[in-house]
Amino acid sequence: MSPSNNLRDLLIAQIPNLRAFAYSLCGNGDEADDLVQETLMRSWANIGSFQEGTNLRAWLFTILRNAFYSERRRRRNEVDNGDGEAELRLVDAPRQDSHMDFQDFREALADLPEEQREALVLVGASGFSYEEAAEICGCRVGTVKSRVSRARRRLVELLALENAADLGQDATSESVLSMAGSVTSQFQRR
Amino acid sequence: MRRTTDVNTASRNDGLQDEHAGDIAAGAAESGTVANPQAIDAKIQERLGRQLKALYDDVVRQPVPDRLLDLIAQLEEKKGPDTI
Repeated sequence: MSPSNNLRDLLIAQIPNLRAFAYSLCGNGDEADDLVQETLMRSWANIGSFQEGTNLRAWLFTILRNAFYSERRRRRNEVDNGDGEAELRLVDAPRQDSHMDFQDFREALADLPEEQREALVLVGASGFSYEEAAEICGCRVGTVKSRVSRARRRLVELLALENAADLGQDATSESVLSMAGSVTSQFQRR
Repeated sequence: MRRTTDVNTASRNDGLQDEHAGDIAAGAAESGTVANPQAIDAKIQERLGRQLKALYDDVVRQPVPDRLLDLIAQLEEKKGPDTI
């Protein structure tokens, strides 16, 4: 297997995760895929700077995140009145899952300050350690920890989850899970 | 002035405790010593985590769009990188 075949396979294997992270940054499917595209091009061009044996996924996430922020800076400079109209929302296109609980969560997540959402996603969904997340975001570990912590507290506020009684029965979480399953199958059908 | 400092210190401590609770939420809840009003109930935190993961995995499970696979094929055609 040639080196480039190997790289191709490794990159392709990371695309689903890159797309999920890009979604959480952009909130918009087309923009997210543009961002992943840019990430693949940059990583291909700069593969020489990747140190074999280190975490390829973290390296790619760093590139994606940098591409996202530099693209946004570029756009802000282009558009004079860049007052955040293009500010990113996870909620852009309401999807089929009208399950209130899930939708509420989606909106609350979108309401988080960007830096908090990013930290929460990296640690809570992408599966990075605090240390890896800090490296990806170019900040200190303690900063990531406090962002994650503040993100959680903010979500609790936004969702008005004051105590366990608000949780309802297990049925709630089960329906969330099955909802996730049905959303997936919708995508697979397409 | 001193009072402000005290308040700041206190809230910083809260933050640290909360982080700690976040890392080992289940353990903290079990010990029954969670007196921090800002600490998040372990069940709530678990629920938040599950919803976040569900949202994320929803995208992870989608098939890779053709345009991205095409792009990689094009990159390969142009030139393979020297090393990996």
